[in-house]
Amino acid sequence: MNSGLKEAETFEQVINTLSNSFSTYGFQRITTLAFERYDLYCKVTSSVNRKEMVKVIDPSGEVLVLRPDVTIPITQELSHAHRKLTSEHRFYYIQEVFRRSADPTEKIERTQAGIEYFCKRSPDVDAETIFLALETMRDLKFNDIKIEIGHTAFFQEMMSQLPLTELQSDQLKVCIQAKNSVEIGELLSSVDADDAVKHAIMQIPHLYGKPEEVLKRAEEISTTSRMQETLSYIKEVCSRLRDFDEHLVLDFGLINRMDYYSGILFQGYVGRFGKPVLMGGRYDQLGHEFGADLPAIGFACEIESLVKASDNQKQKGDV
Amino acid sequence: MNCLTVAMGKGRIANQAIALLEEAGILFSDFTNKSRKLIFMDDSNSIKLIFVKAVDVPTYVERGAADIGVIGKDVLLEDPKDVYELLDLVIGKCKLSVAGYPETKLNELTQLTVASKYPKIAKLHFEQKGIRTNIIELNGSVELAPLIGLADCIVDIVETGTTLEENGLVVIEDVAEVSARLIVNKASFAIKTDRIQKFIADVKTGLEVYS
Repeated sequence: MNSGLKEAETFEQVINTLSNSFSTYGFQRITTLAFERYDLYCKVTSSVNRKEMVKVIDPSGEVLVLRPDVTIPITQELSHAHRKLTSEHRFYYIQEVFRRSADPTEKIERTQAGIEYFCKRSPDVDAETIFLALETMRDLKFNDIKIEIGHTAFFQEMMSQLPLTELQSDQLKVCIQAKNSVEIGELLSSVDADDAVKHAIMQIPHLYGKPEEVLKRAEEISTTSRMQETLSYIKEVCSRLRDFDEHLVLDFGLINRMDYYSGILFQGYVGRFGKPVLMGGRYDQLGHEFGADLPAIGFACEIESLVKASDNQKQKGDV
Repeated sequence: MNCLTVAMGKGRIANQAIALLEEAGILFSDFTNKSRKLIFMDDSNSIKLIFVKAVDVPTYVERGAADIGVIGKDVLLEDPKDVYELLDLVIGKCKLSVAGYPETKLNELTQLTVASKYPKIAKLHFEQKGIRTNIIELNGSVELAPLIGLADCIVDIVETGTTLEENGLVVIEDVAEVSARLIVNKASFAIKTDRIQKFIADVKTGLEVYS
């Protein structure tokens, strides 16, 4: 059997499944340019790491980059036509993105598929998007699907109550992402702040598990009205997804990977694959970078990872 | 087939970790120090222990080839991976320190030449102190570097200090405290939440008895 050929076949199947799934839910396929202006990505602060971008210089001397991301150019393009969101827009894309990883053995080119759903923030649309993510993974016939859901505001609100230096807050973020309770404790011991807030931050790594139970524990430690609001919002989202409870995990330690996220965040895992196969979240502020008010939620996955994951499940699934 | 895979580097930390797991009621009766086997099942046949090269433990865990790993903090500091670091196992305690001849002054040279198995940690440590360095990465017998004039000082693991002493070197300053940590793959934690949390709880009980 020619395994390369087989892989190409799976690759195509995955793409077809995704296209079908997205278009069934009313998403329209779009494409963006392969070469974008380098300025665009420098303008949007902390979007794509500058070192990761593949740069090209055109004959006039302008610096271009090979498409490192899809969300930013889509948002920019929409901002030309709309200063404000008057109706919702549903787009999806399947195209290559190019990023140079620090690890030289990693491939620069990946095929990314995702949706961008421009719409006002509401528990309904957020739940619908998470549902679509779940549905997509089910369409791909994965076993053991889990979606971790987090929210940027809960942690941000806690951080805002701590007098941290930039270095300390970065260190704290790293510890939270690693659920490293020991070092969170060490770090906080040198910070002058209210004990209730410190206690709450120490609890974040443990705020992980079934939505209902985690929300209850989170309520016990929430100290401000903004935190309460966030919790009731998450509760609303989760209650709309109640039928899929077995697939859901709440994780308050899930904090920004891409800094433009604001609000609900989520990522999908499947059995026998060690990394997330899907990542998404709300990015209501991104439009502001282009002078427009364009709230949106979306998610993306890498076809290469999906192919590998489905391969892993097939290989060992028969044991 | 649905077992938890735990990766460790063979050696003293692994022996202590296995003793700790025993206190937690997780027994590896087949395991002996002398065995050349790389895979052991626990007595209840639900936990698979694999032995890999210590520095590779975080890679196995990050990629999901192992659900859980036991590894020294020094390795995690040198090469951070995207994994959960859930417990300090308190075993394998030692320090990462700067060492050299007693008369060595770190901030009097325009550039300090440092030999280390931990080039990133060494570079960062001196950068934070505003000292310019030239780092030489070595893979062993690091103490030799100052003796033969290859480096001004070294950054290395210090347990008892005997090796340093016998070579006429002293600890100049400490860089970090090191102990073994329990790390977990993020996907495994999402998919096998209950089993992993049970394992962690067991290990915590074991820790209380062991220490």
